[in-house]
Amino acid sequence: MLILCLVTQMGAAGPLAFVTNQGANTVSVIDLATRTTVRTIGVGQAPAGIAFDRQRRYAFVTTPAAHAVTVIDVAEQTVVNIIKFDGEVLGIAADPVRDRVYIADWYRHRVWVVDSLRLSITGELATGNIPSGLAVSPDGARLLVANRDDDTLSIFDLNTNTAPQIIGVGHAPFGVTIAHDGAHGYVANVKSNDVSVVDLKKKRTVATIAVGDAPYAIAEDTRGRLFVTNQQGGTVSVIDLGAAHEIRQIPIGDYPEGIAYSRTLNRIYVASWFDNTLTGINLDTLQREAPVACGDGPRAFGEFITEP
Amino acid sequence: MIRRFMLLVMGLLLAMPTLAHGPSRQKVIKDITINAPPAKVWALIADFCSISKWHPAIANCVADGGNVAGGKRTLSVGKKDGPQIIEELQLYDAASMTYKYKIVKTDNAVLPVSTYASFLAVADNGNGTSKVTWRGGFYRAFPNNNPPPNLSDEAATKAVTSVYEQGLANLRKLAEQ
Repeated sequence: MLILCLVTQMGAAGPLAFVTNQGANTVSVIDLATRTTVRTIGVGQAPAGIAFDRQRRYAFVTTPAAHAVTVIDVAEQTVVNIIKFDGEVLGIAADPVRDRVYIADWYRHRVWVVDSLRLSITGELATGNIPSGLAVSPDGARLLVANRDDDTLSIFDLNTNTAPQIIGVGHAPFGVTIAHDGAHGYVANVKSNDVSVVDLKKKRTVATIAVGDAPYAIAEDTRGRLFVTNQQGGTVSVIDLGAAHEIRQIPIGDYPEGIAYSRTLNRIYVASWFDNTLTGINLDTLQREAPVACGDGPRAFGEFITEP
Repeated sequence: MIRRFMLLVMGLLLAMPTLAHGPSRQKVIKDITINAPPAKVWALIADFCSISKWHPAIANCVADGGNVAGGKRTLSVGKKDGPQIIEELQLYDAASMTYKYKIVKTDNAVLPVSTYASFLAVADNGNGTSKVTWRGGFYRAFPNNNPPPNLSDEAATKAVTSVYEQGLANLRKLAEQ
């Protein structure tokens, strides 16, 4: 009976945020509809990046300090495996059409290809220096890698496995997002305080949009807007893509970092590293909601929300 | 079986090495209650370059620009010709008695940090006393793997903690005089 209740409860869960708490060495699982933490999961040292495989079976949490990725079973909300690497795993993104996740090695200019069902490393891709954020297009055709110390973006064709095309972006690119239609890539440039809009067909930067102080990561809604966390500014920049400029900054908290979109709840969620909070922004009003408490040092770098 | 597997996983978690990791941002928060009204406490720290008057470790301060975003100060640590630190205001809000600044240039001998920014704020406790909070986010000075001990996360956190604790203790002493 108890088991039945638990199963029912899990099945009824709305969108869940898996927030990596870098200081607490945990992941907070937050039910976004009820705004409650439903589980706190111990993981490896200083978790930072997060991605769900395409089937939403596992959450992959990068712990650079431990040279490992902690694998969490999403339904059970427990750690089921730890994959070790001979490098510094940070940025991570899932392939929407293959059972793969891609994981960047911070120091050794490469991305690992990991089988997300067998939980094993199957290959490596050569990148630029200090590969940071990763993103894969919805059709699985392209993988984007921000090369922070080269001021470039590597564009891999995942269908042909040819050498990547490398294009110039702003200064110190970090977070990367691909448009829902796959046509553009968006790159947050930490040191030039702007966002590069990259045309993925023409393979060039077509717009550079000024934002706040030290932009970190980007989420896109379905109304042609980007939301960018400004770490040092303590704000989220809202960009109108049609006009290609920032239309407002929303004060959010100290060191806003990870940012993700929930279609179900019509909200953008932001992790504030210093404040230990997750804050929703209502996309109808662009008003921020009361923050939800996380563990110490939430980074949530990656697609940290899983929709039902 | 599942339980045995979980024990194995927990064992692996515990066995993870704590050495040889890349940098992650550190944070330090220190606050102090001062038995003096907030206006009196704020008056002591309101001028960005007054820090040489209230912080025992700062021997000298040279201002470059006013108490507005972009205003800078050059600090001499310990003695007038001691190691120098250059800091810049990012935000200055007298109405809420707070400012935010970043370090433009440090000396690793006295403050081994990088990408440092911090807030200093005075809050009204409502009973004639004040709470001063100093909080900072920063990385260690050594950007790569395997930092020497003097440039490690621990060294950075220890140095910043010491700066905040010494400064706040002396600020209380001056404000309560």
